[in-house]
This record gives sequence, structure tokens and C-alpha cells, in this order.
Amino acid sequence: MSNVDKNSSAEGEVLEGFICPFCLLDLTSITQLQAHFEEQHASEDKAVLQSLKGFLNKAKKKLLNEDETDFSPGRGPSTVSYETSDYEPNNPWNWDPPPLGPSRSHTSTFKKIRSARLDCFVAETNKLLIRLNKLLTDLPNDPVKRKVHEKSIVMWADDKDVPLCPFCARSFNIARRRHHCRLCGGIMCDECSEFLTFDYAKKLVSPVHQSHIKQMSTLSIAGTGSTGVTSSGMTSLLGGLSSLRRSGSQGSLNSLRSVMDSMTNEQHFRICSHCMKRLQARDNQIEQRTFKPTLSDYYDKLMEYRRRIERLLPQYNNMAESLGCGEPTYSLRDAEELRVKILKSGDSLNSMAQRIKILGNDQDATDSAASSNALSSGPRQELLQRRIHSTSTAFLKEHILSLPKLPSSQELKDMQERRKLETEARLAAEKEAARQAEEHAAEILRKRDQKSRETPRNTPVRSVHTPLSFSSLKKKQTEEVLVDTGWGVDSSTFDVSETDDPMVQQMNIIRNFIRQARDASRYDEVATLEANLRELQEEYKKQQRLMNP
Amino acid sequence: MSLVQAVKDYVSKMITESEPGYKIMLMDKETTSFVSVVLGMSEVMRQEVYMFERIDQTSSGENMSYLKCLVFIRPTRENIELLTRELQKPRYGAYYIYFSNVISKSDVKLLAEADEHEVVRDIQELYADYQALAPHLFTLNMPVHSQGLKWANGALQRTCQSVAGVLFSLQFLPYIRYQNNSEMARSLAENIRQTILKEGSLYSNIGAEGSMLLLIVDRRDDPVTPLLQQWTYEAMVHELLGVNNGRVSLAHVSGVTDDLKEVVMSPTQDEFYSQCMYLNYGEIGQTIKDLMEDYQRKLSKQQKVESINDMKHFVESYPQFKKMSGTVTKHVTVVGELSRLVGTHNLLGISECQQELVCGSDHSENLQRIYQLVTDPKVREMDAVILVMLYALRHEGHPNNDVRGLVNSLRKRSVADHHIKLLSSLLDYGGARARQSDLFGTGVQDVASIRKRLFKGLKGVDNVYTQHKPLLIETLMEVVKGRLREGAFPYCGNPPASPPVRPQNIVVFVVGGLTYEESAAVHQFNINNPGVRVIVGGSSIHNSTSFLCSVDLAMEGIPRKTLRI
Repeated sequence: MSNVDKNSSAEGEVLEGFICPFCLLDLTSITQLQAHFEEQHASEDKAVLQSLKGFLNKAKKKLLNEDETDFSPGRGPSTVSYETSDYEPNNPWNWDPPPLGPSRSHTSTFKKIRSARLDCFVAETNKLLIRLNKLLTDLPNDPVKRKVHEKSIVMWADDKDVPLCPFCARSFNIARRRHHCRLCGGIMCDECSEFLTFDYAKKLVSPVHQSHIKQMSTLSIAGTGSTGVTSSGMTSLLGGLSSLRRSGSQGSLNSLRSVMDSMTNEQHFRICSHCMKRLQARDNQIEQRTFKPTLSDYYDKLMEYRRRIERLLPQYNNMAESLGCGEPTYSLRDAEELRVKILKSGDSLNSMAQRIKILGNDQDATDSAASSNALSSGPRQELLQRRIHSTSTAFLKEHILSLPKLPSSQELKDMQERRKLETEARLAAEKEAARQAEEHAAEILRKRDQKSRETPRNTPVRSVHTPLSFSSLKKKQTEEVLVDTGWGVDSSTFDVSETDDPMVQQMNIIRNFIRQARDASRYDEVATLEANLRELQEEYKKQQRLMNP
Repeated sequence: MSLVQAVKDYVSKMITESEPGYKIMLMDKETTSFVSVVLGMSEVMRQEVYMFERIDQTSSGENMSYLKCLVFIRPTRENIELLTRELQKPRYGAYYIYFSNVISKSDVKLLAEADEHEVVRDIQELYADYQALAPHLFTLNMPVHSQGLKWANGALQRTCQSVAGVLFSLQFLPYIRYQNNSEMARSLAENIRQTILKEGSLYSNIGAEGSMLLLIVDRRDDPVTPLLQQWTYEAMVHELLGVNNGRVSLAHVSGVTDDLKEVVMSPTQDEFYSQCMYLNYGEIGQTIKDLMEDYQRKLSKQQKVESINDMKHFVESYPQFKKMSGTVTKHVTVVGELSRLVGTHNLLGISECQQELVCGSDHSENLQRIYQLVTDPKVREMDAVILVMLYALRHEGHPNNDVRGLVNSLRKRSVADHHIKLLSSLLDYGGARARQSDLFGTGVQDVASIRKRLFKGLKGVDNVYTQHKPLLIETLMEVVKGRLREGAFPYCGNPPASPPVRPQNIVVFVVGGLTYEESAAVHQFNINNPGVRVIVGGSSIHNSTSFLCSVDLAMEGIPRKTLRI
């Protein structure tokens, strides 16, 4: 097939068919093209003509003789320059997009280095947590006993070995005394010490925290092992509660806890800043893993609506366009249904965007009290919410407000009627024109052949447009539908009574298909199925008439 | 081939590769400008990136761990340091890091060690290390490139990285040629060659080498083009108003509304602008008029909202209508301001004189005209100075050269001394001694150039204001014809055994900055030469002001030789 690719990207228009490379006229067959060429462009460059003729002959051979193997794509129209004044193929704005540029990933190297480094941190942190757990278990109230208990957990560094505070590098004396970290046994001065409150410590070792599960039920599984006496149970319960609260040491639980710890004078462990940093890092990490603000729930929903609209839109646009020009492919009812579906999603999207926008202004007080403790919504979060809102609004404006209208059923009927007539008229006109043109072309060729006193070549002319017969097309579609059932048909839902005759059964099956297709919003399939159904019904009626005249 | 598309693709790659969810983008000053000239903010926001932050001015410590963070920065030492600090105290939940160029192993290690919170998910190099202003045009946006006629501190490395970035992103593995009399061009060529050889693994298919060329030229060879008054829309806006990262400030224009204080003039975001950026002054007027009429027609249609159907129609077309009205007001304001400036400062007269000076050859007539304009009170000081500069460059060797007389009349106008000194700087920067090409066509003439002049004389000129053709186009013609002399533009490294006669893809880099006149000319060159694709880039995009500024900097600390004032 000789196709002249006029341009590839300007209007995305590719002309195909028998096109004269000089004047870009579409001539419907080879003979016509050849005739047109000899008639119109005879005066033009001989060489070009010759090459074109060669090409045409080749193309003809190819067309008429399917198993011809000689094919040279380099020759032909591409070697002929024709004038296309307004399209500039080498205008930089028309340059074809380049392939995606290269990139190089460093992620694996990065992760290797990071994990090598983090492994020791993790080991260290775990060690600290085990010690902390032991410290908390059976902690005596009496200060002396408590010290013994604390010392039994970790070897305390010898005072003699540490002449200076390792953190501030100042020497120890009467005023600046040595203190031990209860977790690593290291020595530091008072100023450089950090204090780990019991609450925080309990939160860190609580099973809730360790297993990242936020359910009260896990509290019954005491993570403290064989020493599961009442106090440890209490500890983990408190730990669990406080971790649920996500607050350091404030709140009403404080009073409850203070009753328990009233006998002890110190309600915290002294630890060094190094250990503190490790523990806090771990705490932060887990907080972040489990923490999900209300905003993100809302946002997930918002995006879900948006994706749904994005999925449905192209389908709807197709349907609207098709209906708009009166094609009978889709049913109007389906399109309306889809329209309502899209509008509804748009509505939910809008309300969700509204909620996101005002989130943190008044709702925060009620339903996200917990999250507001850990994360106050600052000006940047507000900005984020505003931006999400404005983007969603822009999305809605662009897609929902400009949703193409559907014709009313009356309009549709008129249009379909008109279209049918037009198509028939056009078909007839085309046929007539083609016939005339063929005759004309044959005439010219005959004249030429006579002139050159050659034996007239017998060029078998075949109609290029061989319309597939309607019934075979129908058959094909039916097969397609039956083979390609992407949304697996649930056969158990068929309500097919066995007494019916096969025709009725078939119709029922198709009705079921239609229902399911509609549920799955696959309207183009609905259309073909409905056509099938109509055919069947008609056939059935005919039979009935035959049987009971 | 399109540079704009290349950068766009990289940005969408970044956005799609990090998982869905709301995101923030953390960039440095330069990458911000890379992204902002190719993509509008709303376009990025539609892809779930709602916030933008500069790494060098992190606003608050507000923890937003639920946000994902896209980091897109240049691999400079300061940026690495800032990023390490960010990773040590992460404010966001996950980080996807993209560098705009090659990053060293040691920097990766630094970052890996800083990431104690395990927040980094991905770390990659991309090669979008340039500002793509048009499909065929890139700039490094680097006002200071040279000091004392040598590469300024760090400028060579930066330039080399960016040009290599262009080559990488387009998968070009070119031969490199450079302007022989420029030491800066030579060292850049050598550096780029080394970089390309070192990063050979980035090229997926080597072998298409023959048809590509990287040509490095020096602004000093053509100091005239940046000084001329411009008449294409894009160049005029830059010359008279100044474009900065695709934005134009109209704050000084009287009676301008708040939302027009700063407008976006970027062909990638404004369809109307992309259609008329290369039109000349007269044509823009017509186009704007058409646009206005179209708008008014729509407006009158909008205003008669009578039936429900009208209302429905109004609501449906409202967004497009609003967009159009924005475009109309913007361009009408800009063009109005341009025409005001053209009128008040006698720019048409000046331009005619400039073009005659550069393209004609009648010395005494030129001189007379210049005297007239220099003393004209309507002419701005700077325009007078530029006229004298052009005269000094054009008639440098003329026996009756009267630069001193012109300088005196400038003094009489009480032009600032600093500006007059610029004249002598310019003569050393781009005078006859600094040039290797025959800029004004006055040198020893061969047959071809005589014929060219003759034809020009016969044809006459269609437009007195746009006679000048930049030197770059002549050079490109020679390249395309395979006639570029090896003595003037030698190959860097080994010259090819059989030099490619017609390179198909050409990247030209102008050390010291490019002008929009050259960009428009290259655009036209591409259209006229199907089969050849030319991309141009420069250290920056100059107008006369920025060019003189860079000349001033480049000549810092160099004793004047040609003209002592």
C-alpha cells in the first residue's frame, strides 16, 4: 500500500491510501493514481516520474501479488520532496521527544554503607532496651536496695578510671561529682546527665511499643517473661496506656502512677546523653511508623475519588462523543448512569477537599486529639491543606465542569435517523464516484496503451473496500465477547430455569452478562451484548410465529 | 531531541518513582529554576507534589513526618552538607534523593552515614543540570563566568558539568571543537572530553559518534550582537524589561494591578507566547490585536447570559475564558510597556543607526548620525554609550576614527565615568585583537564573501531594523557545509580519521553568554535546514545591560591596552 506520510506530529494526521505525492490528492486505486499521474504531472521532472513509476509498479506488484518478497522501503514518496508550507518538520517545537535520559542509581551502595553502620546501632539499642527492661522489673523502692539492683544490671565504671567528664571534659571535684549512667555504666557529671522518667522508660520497653501493635489485647501477653508478678503486669499495663496516650508524663495517668511510686524519691533513671539519644531515635522511628494523621486518611479517600473519576472520564467522553454524533454503539441510559456516577464522585471529592481544608481548625479538638498532641498543625501543614484543596478544586473545574453534555433521547433519535440517511447517501455517492473514476482511468490508460501500440495490459481491478458482511461481523463480536470475559462471570448467579427452551436460556444468560457488565462499568461490552440480545429476541419471535401461527 | 522535554521527563520520572502520596520537593536555588521554567506549579501539584522548599533556606523545624520528600539538588559540597544535616534530623517521613549530575562515591558515603533514621528510600543521579528555555536552547544562568579573562572560581567545573549534562541527557557522544584563540574555550573542551570519557558507562549505545558535534565558541569573538537593539518579542522583552527565570517584573509599570506585578513569560507555560516569541515588533502588534478581538467577541458572548442554556454554557466555558482573559491582559500590558519605551527613547532611530553602523560601511555618514543621537536628550545615556561602543568596534582600524570626539560629547552629556570606562574594557574584551573571525566582513575578502556582499546589495534590505545576522549563524553554515576551518576551530583530542562532512546533531556552547537574537536565529536555522538539529547554550542569556556587566567583571584587574581614556 502506498502511503504518504505527510507529517507525523503536527496534527497527528497520517494520510493513507493512494495519494499523489505531488498534489496530495487521494485517488482510490492504483490505476487511477497512475492515470492521474500521467495526465497531470507528465510535464514534471522525468527522473522523479521514473522513480515514482518504478515505485508504483512495485507497489502494484505487492498489492496484487501477496507473496512478492521484493520490498524496498527506502524508495518512493520519501525521496520526493513536496511542498508543505505551513508545517516545519525541523521547528524545534516540533522535535520528537527524546527517549528518557539515562540515570544511575546509588541506592544499593548507599544502603550497604548505611546498614553496616546501623547494624551496630541496632544491636546497641537492643542491648539498652534489655537492660532497661531488667531495671524496671522488680525495682526496689528503698534507695539503697535500688542502687544495688541498678548496679547488678550493668558494670559501673570505676571512678579512678575517669578523671574528666567525657562529655564536657571538666575535672571532677567535691562540687562536681561523678554520676553513673544506669544503662551503660559510664561516668559523667551532673550537668551532662540526662534523666529518663519511668513513664518514658516503660513506654520504651512496653510490648505495645516493641511489637508495634496498638491493641489493648496484647497487654495480656506480659512481655516481661517469667517474672510476671503483679507489679510487672502493672508496669506493662501502664506502659501500654501511656503509649496509647503518646504523651510524655502529663495527663491524668500521672496521678495514678504517682500513687504507685510515691515511696521512691527518684522517679527517673540517670543516664548519659549517648544512651538517651539512642533510645529517643528508636522511639521516634516507631512513632513515625505507626503514626497516621487524620489528614492522611482524608487524603487517601480524596485520591481514591480522583482516581475513580480519572478512570471513568475517558469512557464517558467516548460515550458522549459517540452519542453526540448519533452512533448507536452505546445506550443513552448507560451514559446517563455513568454521568451520575462521575458527578457523585466529584461531589465526594469536593466535600473531602473541603474537610481537608478546614481540618485542624475546629475538628482537631474532637476526633484527632491524640494526633494533635504529637503533632501540632503548624502553618506549613495548613499550607499543605490549602494546596490540596486548591488542586482538587482545579481538578474538578477542569474535568467536572467541562463534562460534555448528553443529547436528550428525542435529539438522539433524530440524530441517529439523520446519520443513517447520511451514511446511506454517502455510500451510494462514493460507489458512484468510484465507478466513474474507474471508468475514466481505464479510458485514459487505454488511450495511452493504444498510442504506444502495446498490447493492452490486463489489470485486474479489485474493489479495495470489501466490506465484511454484517452477519460475519456480528458473529465475530459475539465470539469475542464470549471468549474475552475479563471480569469472570459468576455462573452461580444465573437464574436460568431448566424448563425453558435453549433460545430463552441463551437470552437469560445474555441478560445476566449485561447486568454484570453494567456493574463493572464496561459499557462498550454492554452495547454489543444488547445488540446480541435484540437479535436473539427477534429470532425467537420469528420462531414463535412459525410455531403458533 | 527537545531539551525541555528531556527535563520534563526527568521530573516526572522523579515524581512517579517515589510512591504515591502527598509530597514535598526540596530543591536548591538552581534546580528550582531548572524545574520552574519547564513546568508550571499547578502542573506539578496535580502530580501530588504540593509543597516546595529550598534546601538553603529551610523554613521551620515543623515535623511533617507524614510527608514524602523529593530531593532534587545539584551535587555541590554545600548541598551535600545541608542534606546531611537534614538527614540527621529528618523532618519528613521518607526521602527520595535525586542529584542533577554525577555524584562522588565519598559523598554517597557521607550521606549514608548521616542517615541514622533510615529515611532515605532512593538515591539516584539524573542529568538535568541546565535550564531548558526552549527545545533548542539552554542556559546555565551563571552571570559571573570569567574574571580577569580567566574562568572564575568554580565556573569551569560548573560549566563543564552542565554541558556534559546536556550531552548525557540527550545521549550525545560528540566530537568536540573549540575556538582556537580562546584559552577558556580550550580548557572547557578538554574538561568536557575528560568527563565524557570517564562517564562512558552512561552511554547505552556507542557508535553514533560521527554525526554529532559539540562546538565551543567564545563571546569575545562577537561582542556586537548583545549590544544591538532587539525587535523580536522574546528578545525585546529581555532587553527592555529583563526576563529572570521565565519571569518578568512589571512592578515599575504605572497603573499595573497586583497580579501583574510579576508575570510568567515562558514558552513552555504560555501557548500564545510560544507562538509569537520569534515574531518581530510589528507582527506582535497585529497578533495581539487579533487576540484582543477574539477575546472581545467571546466577552460579548459571555455577557448576554439570558437563558438557562446561556448560563450553562457560561459555567462550562468559564475556566478557559478566565485563562484567556489572563493571557490577554498579560500580553497587552507587556506590549503596551514595550511600545511606550520604544516611543519615549527613540529606539527605532537608534536601532536604524546601529544596523547601518554594523552592516553598512559608510564611515562619515555613520559618524554624523551618531553625533546627532548622542546629543539628543531623548536618547538614554546607556543607549548613547552603546552607540559609541559599536562605533569604536566597527571602525577600530579606520584612519579617521573619532572615538575621542564621541567620548568628549558623552562627557558633555555628563555620562557617568564608569560607563565611559566600559568602552575601553569592551575594546580589549572584544576588539579586533581579541577576535579571530571576520565579524564585519572587512578583512581580506575571498571570492565567496565578495559575491555575498554583491548579492546583498542587489537584493536590498527588507527591514532596516533587522539587517544584522549574528556571527554564530555564519559559523553554523560553515559547519553544516563541512567547511569550518580546522585552524580556527581545532578538534579536541584526536581529530576523526575521516571528518564527518555534515554533522546532524550540533550543540553549540557560547562561553560568556548567548542572546535571544542568536536563539531566534538558530530556531530559524533549524527550520531552514531539515536534517540538521542545532542546540545552543550559553553561560547566561544576555541583554545589553547584563553583557556589559559581565564584560566589566571579565576585565577586572587587566590593564587596558587598546584605548586609554
